[in-house]
Amino acid sequence: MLESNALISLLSAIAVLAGLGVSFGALLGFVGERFKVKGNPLVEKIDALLPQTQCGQCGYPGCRPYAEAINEGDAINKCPPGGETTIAELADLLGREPAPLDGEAQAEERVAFIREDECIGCTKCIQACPVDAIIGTAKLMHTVIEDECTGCDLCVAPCPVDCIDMLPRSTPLTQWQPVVNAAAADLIASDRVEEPPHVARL
Amino acid sequence: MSHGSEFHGRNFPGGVYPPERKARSTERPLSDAPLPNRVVLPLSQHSGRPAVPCVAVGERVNTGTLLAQPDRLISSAVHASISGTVEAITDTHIDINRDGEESQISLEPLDWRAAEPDTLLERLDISGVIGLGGAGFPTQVKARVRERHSLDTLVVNAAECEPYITADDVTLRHFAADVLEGAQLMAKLAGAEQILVGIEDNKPEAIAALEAAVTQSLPLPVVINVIETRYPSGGERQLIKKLLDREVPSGGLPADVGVLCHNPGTLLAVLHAVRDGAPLTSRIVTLTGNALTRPGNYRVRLGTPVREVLQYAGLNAAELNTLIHGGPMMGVALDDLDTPVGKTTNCLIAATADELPAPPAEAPCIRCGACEDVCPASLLPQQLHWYARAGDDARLERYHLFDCIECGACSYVCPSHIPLVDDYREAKARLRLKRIEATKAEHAKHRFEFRQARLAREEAEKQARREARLAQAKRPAQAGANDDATAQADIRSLRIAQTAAKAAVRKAEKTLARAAQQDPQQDLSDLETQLATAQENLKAADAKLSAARQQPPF
Repeated sequence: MLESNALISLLSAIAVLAGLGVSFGALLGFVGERFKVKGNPLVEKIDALLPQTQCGQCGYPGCRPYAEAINEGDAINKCPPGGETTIAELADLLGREPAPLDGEAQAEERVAFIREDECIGCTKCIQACPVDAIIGTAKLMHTVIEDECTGCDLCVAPCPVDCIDMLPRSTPLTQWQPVVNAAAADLIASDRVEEPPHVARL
Repeated sequence: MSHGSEFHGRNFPGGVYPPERKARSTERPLSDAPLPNRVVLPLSQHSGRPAVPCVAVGERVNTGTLLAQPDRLISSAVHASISGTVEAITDTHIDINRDGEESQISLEPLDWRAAEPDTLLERLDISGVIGLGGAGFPTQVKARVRERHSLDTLVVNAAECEPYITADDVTLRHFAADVLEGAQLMAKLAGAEQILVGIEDNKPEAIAALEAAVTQSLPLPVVINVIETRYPSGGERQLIKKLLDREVPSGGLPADVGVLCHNPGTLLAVLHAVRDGAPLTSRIVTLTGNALTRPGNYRVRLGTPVREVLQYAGLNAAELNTLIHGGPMMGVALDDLDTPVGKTTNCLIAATADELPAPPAEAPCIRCGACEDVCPASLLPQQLHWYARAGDDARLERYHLFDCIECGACSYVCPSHIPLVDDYREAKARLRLKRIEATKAEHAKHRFEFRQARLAREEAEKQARREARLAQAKRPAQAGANDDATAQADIRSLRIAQTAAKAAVRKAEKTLARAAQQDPQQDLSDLETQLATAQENLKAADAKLSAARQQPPF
């Protein structure tokens, strides 16, 4: 009598626990299927840090493939347009050691410019442009949409008449940056050169 | 929190009491400055996109001739402020030489009580009226906020809290009735139910003029609210807090709490544009400072070189130490006396060295917290200073740098003489540039994805055509169903891919439609690229599916 009672309680405990296990398992399985994350979230994060010039200087055909390669373990220092800042941000995200840039950093932002009277209309640059920033058609002049150009250089090599230049990007007035001489504050008092500041105060 | 907010519920926190120095410029009555021989009219006197020139070099223009049209919505027109010939047009400005024959062009006068709202908005748009208080936001855009917000109050911001400036004070002394009529007009456009005038108690003449005019102001009730003089009570957010006890949310607009603020000068310009058909070609400027012998308020044609107006006001060039455009708290020092007077030039201070001495050299922050006590936006200026100098952009955003109104109260009280506002302005410019670059990178990514999708679609279509040709050639020699099952499975997975692509197109369409509905003026090209990418993917999926269907001869 006592034994059968113990057996029943044992069995019921097992049944309840098994039932709970099965139902939670089903719930988890359903949620996992229902709210499945498409793609690799880490790749997305890496891709967001890359400058999206799609220049291929890293050896991959675009920024996203490079992001995937970094996720697989490739080096994080292969992006010249991003420069040191991108390397630092990637190192921060991935917990890796920042390495010096593999390649030459760009001094300034540049865009492609087609010398239009020399263009023969071969469409080779149009095919090379990764962001469709060149307009034109066969045997007619081509031109670059400056706002869309990422400065990737990929159109320069295919041009048979070398009529593409990389020129500094023009900065609109809205992107003007004030120059503030903050360095003066870090000097100790005896090292300061007394220079009357420009702005007077009330 | 500062003491102010603890003791008075309807008060904004912080604030300072700088010396007012307003008396000198109100001694003389309002007068007209002489016509300049040459004006330089910048194309970007307002916030938003620069205007687009619509005249040619050498053309003869009258006062009030439209020189440049607004470029899309957030922009404003520019009109000739003197009669003469267009001398030069550059990317940034239009120059006009006066020929001596003063002739005025005006538009047809409108009766605002009877006119349709659209007619009034169009009139404001082509009259080049912008906020004359300093920020220069196109008034026409502000009048349109009704489309997206429900408004109940129009606030006439006559606080004019900055030292030295008396332009609004004088405007109200002379044209109180017209300002209130302009307020009624804007209130009608905005659908407001009441008009509140917020004015500091240091302007008794203006208050008297307003009180005399208020009885005739119809149809909405006008309440004059005289407030204590404390800088910066003229900030929109601070004034709204004080008058209505409403708090504008961080990153929001006064319209979010049902309020619209206008400066008296703007309301006067609005009335002139509508009632008299006169575009904005002149404004009232306070010329003051100890280097002037005849300080006062002058009606100045826009584009007049600062040098000419100052000379008219008796500039003592030897005494001049700094020339400040705007007020001493928020204004900027001008390097060049040939800078033109613009639509947002409310005040020019020609200060002597004794009057506004150069600040002592900056010393390190001692974390005294004086800046925090006076901050009217309840920010932590010392922390912002720290992070701005360190370039810590993430923290700057977290400490709400963009809620800083750049009032300068923190710099004013700083015992270490740190130019805090300069730091914030620089950090804001840097963060804005970063945002622009981030959107650009995102856009480039979407264009790249679109191209990849297009290439994939072209490839798939080519493949489909090839399969079709092959199937046609093979049809006579029907080779039995080789692996029907695999082909069926292939088709099934392709159909799933096609359905997913269809769903992606629908989602992109929905996102685009929602964005277009929320803000029809924004640039939608990026979302359109994303939609096009989804469509290319769908076409590729269709092509693949049809190719697969051609393949197995059933």
